[in-house]
Order: sequence, then structure tokens, then C-alpha cells
Amino acid sequence: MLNYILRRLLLLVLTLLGLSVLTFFIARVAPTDPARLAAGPYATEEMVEQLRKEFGLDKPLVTQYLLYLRGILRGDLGRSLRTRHPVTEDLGRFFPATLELVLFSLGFAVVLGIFLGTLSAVYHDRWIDQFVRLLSISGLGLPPFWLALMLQFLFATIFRLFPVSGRLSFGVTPPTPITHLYLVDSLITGNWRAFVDSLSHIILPAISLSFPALASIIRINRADVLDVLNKEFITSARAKGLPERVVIWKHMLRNALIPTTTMIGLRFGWMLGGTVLVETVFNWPGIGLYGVQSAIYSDFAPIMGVTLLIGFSFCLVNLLVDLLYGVLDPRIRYV
Amino acid sequence: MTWTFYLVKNAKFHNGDPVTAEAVKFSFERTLKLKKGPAWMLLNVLDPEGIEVVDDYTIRFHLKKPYAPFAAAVPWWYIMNPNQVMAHEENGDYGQAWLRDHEAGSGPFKIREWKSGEYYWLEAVDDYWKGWPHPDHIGGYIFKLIREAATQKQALLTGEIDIAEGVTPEDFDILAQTPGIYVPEYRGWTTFGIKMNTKKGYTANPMIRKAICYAFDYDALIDIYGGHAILETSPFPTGFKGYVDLSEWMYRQDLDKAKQYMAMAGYPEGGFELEYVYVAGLEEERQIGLVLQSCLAEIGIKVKLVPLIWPEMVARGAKAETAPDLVAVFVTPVMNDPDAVAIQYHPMSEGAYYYMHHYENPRVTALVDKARVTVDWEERAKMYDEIQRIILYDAPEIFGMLYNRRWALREYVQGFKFCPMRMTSEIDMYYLYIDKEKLPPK
Repeated sequence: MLNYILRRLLLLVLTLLGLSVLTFFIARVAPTDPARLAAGPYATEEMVEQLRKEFGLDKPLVTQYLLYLRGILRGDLGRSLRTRHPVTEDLGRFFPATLELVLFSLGFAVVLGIFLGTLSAVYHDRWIDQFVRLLSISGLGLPPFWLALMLQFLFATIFRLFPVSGRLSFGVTPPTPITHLYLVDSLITGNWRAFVDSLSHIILPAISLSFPALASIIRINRADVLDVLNKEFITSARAKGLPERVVIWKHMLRNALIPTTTMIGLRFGWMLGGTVLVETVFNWPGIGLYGVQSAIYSDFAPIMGVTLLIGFSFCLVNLLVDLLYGVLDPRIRYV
Repeated sequence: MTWTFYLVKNAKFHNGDPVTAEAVKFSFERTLKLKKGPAWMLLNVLDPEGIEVVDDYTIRFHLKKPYAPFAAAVPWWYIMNPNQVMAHEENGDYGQAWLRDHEAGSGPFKIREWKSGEYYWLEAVDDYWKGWPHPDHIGGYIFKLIREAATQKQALLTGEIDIAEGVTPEDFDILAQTPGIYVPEYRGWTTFGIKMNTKKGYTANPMIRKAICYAFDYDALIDIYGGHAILETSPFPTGFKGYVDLSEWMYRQDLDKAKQYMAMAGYPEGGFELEYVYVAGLEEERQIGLVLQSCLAEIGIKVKLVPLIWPEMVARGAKAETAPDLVAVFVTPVMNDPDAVAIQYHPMSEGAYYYMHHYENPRVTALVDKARVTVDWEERAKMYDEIQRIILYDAPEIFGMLYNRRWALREYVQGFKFCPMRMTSEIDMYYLYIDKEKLPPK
């Protein structure tokens, strides 16, 4: 087991190394001059040159890359030309917001997806199934960007049920930072005002972000449950006289969950990428928004930082998912 | 050559220190040494040694050579409190790191909460030394970053924000009709033009450039902006200092003339393709490209529309070898002096986004150089008159239009003052006040 984890971690490092090479050189393929942009439209050549030196952009590409790697080992991801802050500092500020949004959306998609998927399988071809199918097909078909704008227009502007944008209202003091996730922190500290306020802010972006995931979890879960439904152990459980509730939600579901778990792991990564659009519409102060702005300005260091962070999270979650298999299915063992 | 400024004696920094000549000297020296921000304005005319503190409230600048726009440049040089800045200096950075999230100024607002990339919350300095223009002046404001135009509009409609600046032209029209919201509209000094590469390719030929200028449909520009724009009547923005009205000489659509110029250039049937580069995502620029495409088709020129992200566009335009044939650009003069516009046609601007035409005419270059060191305005004005005429004749770009500046405000926000000088859509918050009678019931 330990061996397996170590091997996977080593692979993770290699993957990230590859990712860093790709991102580093692809970002620089476009013939842009970030120093000139950052120095301002009227800056003299001398001013631009000085900035180029300050940010090490005057060195050959390979040297720049090696310096960057050396920086990573020291926990330094470079400095943003746009915000002029160290990238680690910016990521530290924006990542918790994204993480909160993704976790909340994922939780929402998983709970609702498994519930609806199971329901849909148990009552297959009945009206519940038809309704859930409509929901899941539209979830896969609707562009998240459009869905976000529509939800915002309907529920924030017309019905005024939720705020239009942001993570917390002005005048509401953020909860004492413990995990930096507002919902969790406000619960821990019993700050109800902040809890209700951040909850009302997260709902619309979370629905927009979770819709595609919800749809695919429903579909996979429905198929798996249908598959398990006819297995002999289910018949035997029923024959033992177990209540139907226990048969479905315990015996059946646990066995149907393995493919769904894989899907959840993959969806986590997709969601991190999807934040780019949703965060822009809802002005959610996370790394998606930060990444887009950096890309628009050819601000290399933050582009690298955001890509590596998303890549790292993606790999880590997939590792966790693989380990979870063992818990869900005792037959699976790692050596 | 020498400028003397007498400072008011009651000006105070936010921590109570007086604003003295010493502080002014420090602030100018700091920018000149750091070579950042507005340093480019004075780097060539002012040395740190040229700043003389005469007494506590008198400061004198000895310029290396005469520089007429000096007075117009000075407002860009922010004065900061040396005591605060130097107390937070790290590794000789003149307090740069600290100033990212702090301030050391003497203005009507000071920082309350600063979340880079999210919002900037400023509060009014109650005992501001200059006083406030209105008793119900705002107690502060939150400058919130909302990148998506549709989100800005929704936030204004629900009252989540009070002022929006980045709404689409169509949405401004809708908001102007919405109860509780008003949309002030003013003529700006931001010009839109399509720069042509005067050094390389087909557009290096002035006859072809003129043919293009005569083929273009100028009225379409006004239509694209829904009537919220006027056509340029000179290479200088209408009403700008030194501007002359050249309406009767401007290029307007005339396909016969366009064809004549094509014939003179040796391409009576056209038969070549040009590239039109614009900023990816700017819908208006794309529409203008479509107009250009159909207009130039009339004289046998094909146009390829190429959307690029801004950094890539600037990088390509920096050198004549790579600069696009045609490129859409908005330019706002950065100071209230004709020099700010004239230098856009001077090779000293090589590399800058507004110099993507790489225009060079020795006469214009000499005149711009001479005008900026001439102190007498009458004499300068004559030079700028000639400069405008020559540039227009040489046609380094399709001179387009000036679009109107619009904002959308909630009705209870009053006191709005327009200034065409602003770079983008900044508002002077100092003059704003709240009309309590128009406030919505709580």
C-alpha cells in the first residue's frame, strides 16, 4: 500500500514536471512582450528594459525555465507583472475561493446525482426516470456560460432571490480564517450572518458549475444501479426479507459506486477548469478569474502557477479516488 | 526652462504631516530614479539634481531643455509622504512593495480595505484640507472589479452597485430608459482609427492608403455605435488643445476617387489581400472589420480579419516588419497638450501601440521636436496646424471617430463631473454627493 502511494507520488512529480515544461514553452510561443505591457504604453525603451531585467525576462528561455524550477523548490512561483505580488501570495488568496466553490458544487452534484440516478434506475422507464433523463441530457447539452448568465438573470435580477455576484456582501465581515473556506469557517465560529450570506452567494455559481457533473453522475449511476439490480446478491438480500430501503441504499448502492467514484474524480478536474467561465460571470474571486486575467496580459508567472496548481489538484484527487476503490470494494488491494 | 511652484500652506498628508516642498522633491526624485509609472514624461528633460527646494512651500524645477508640455505632465506625478514611504522601504525599493497595498497621499480619500483583484474600499477624509464641495458628499466608495459587462448591468439593476462604466452600447441605451437610473453622455477625446503599415507591404504606397481612405464607409462607424459617436475632423481629437477643423479635407467615401488612386498606384483592378487585425472579443472592432471588408472589395482588395489578444497585437505592431497592414486602435491622449497626440506620429514612439503605422515624415518629425521646446503658444499652435495637415495628407491611417463616454448611475448619486482627459472611464469621486430624497426606502 505504502509502496503504491510512493510510486504514485513520484509519478505525480513527473507529470507536473512535464506539465510545467509544456505550459512554460507554450505560453511563450506567442510573440508577446509582457514587460512592455506592464511598463505602460508610453514607457521608454530604457524603462521597459529595466522591468525586463527585474523580472528576468531578458535571459534565454532555458535559463528562465531552470530559474523557475529552482524557485519552485524554494516555494517561490515568481512574481506577477500585473499585480506585482508574489504568485504564491495571490494563489493563497484566490485558491480557497475556488476550492470552496468546487467542493460545494461537487458535493451538490454527488449527493443529488447519486440520489436521482438511483431513483431513476429503481423506477426505470417510469415518469421519474423520464424527468431525470430530461434533466441530465440538458445538463450535458447546455453551455455552462449561458446557463450561468440565465440563472443570474432569472434568480438574481428578476426574482432577486440571490445576489448577482461576489462571494460575500459588503458590510458582512468574513469569518475568522481557519480553513479559509467561508462556509466552513463561519460554521465553526458560529457566525450565522456570514454563513447565510456566503451560502446565498455560492448557490447560483455552484449550480452553474455542477450541472454538467450532475448530469454525468446521474447517467453513470443509473446505468450501474441497473446493472447491479439484477445480480444474485440482491435477490438473496431480498429473499432474506431485508426492507427494500436497506437493499437499495446499502447493498445495491455500495456496489454500484465504483464507476461513479471514478467519474467524481474526473469531474473535480473538469470543474477546476470550468471555474474560468463561472467565476467570470459571477465575479467569484478565485483562481479561474485570476488565470484568465493573467492570460489576457501574457503574465507568465501566474499562468504557470495556476496551471500547476490545477494540475496538482487533479492528480491528487485521482490518487485519492484510486485509494477509495479499496475502501468501496474490499477485493481491490494495492501492492 | 525653470518652473517655480508655490504650494498651499494648509495641505496635509493623511497622517497629519504637512505637504512641503521637500515631499514634492522626494516624490519626483523617487519616480525619476525608479524609472516606472509616469517617469517617461520627464526622464529626458529633468534630472533629480534639477529639483530645488527654495523654502518649505516653494519648489523650483530646472529643466535640461525647454519642454512646453511640462505643466500638463505634472498632475500625473503623485506626491507622497516621504516619512511614511521611507519607513517601509525594503532593500532600497523606495517603499514600492509597501505601496502596493498602502497609501501615503494627501487626497480626499484614503484606503479602508484593499483586496487586490477584488475590490478597493476607500473612505472620505472628513477634515480634508481643501474642504468638500457638497455637505452630503459620499463617505467613501468601493471600487469593485466586475469584468463581465452583463454582470455589471445586472448588479446596477438590482442596486448592488451604484455606478457602472463597462456596459455594452446597447445596454447603455436600455439603462437610460430604466427608472431610477440615468446615463450621462459626453464627447470624449478617445479616437478610433485603423492604422496602416506605412513601411511595408502594399500600404507602404501612399496612393493605396488614400484609395483605402476613400473607399471606407465612415457613416457605418456611427451606426455601429448607435449614433453615440462623431467622426474625426482632424488627426487631433475634436476640441483638443491645438486642434484645427479640417472637415473639408477629411477623406469621406468616394469610390470613384478610390479607384483613381488605385489606378495611380498601378493596381486599377486591385487584386491583393490585406490583413485587418483587431482585439479578439471586441465586437465593435469586428463589425468595423466587416464594413472594411465589404468596402475594400469594391476596389478589388480582399481583407482578412485577424482577431488577436492585445499583448500579441502590440508585440506584432512594435516593428514595421511584423506590423499588420491594417490594425484597429483606440487612443486617448494622456495629457492636455497637443504634444501628447503629435508624438504618436513621431518615430520616438517606435514600439508603442499607437505607432503601429510606423509613420515617418521628416517635416512632421522636425515640427514635433520644435513645437515641444517652443514656449510661445501662438507659435506652437501654428506648428500643430501644419502637423495636422501633413499627417492628414499622408494618410497613415483611416481617421475614424470619437465615441461618446457613457456611465450609468443610480439617480441618488449626484454631482457627476465629466473630464475628457481621463484614460478610461474614471470618475472624480470627490464631487459626488447623495441626493437623500431620491434614496430608495430602506
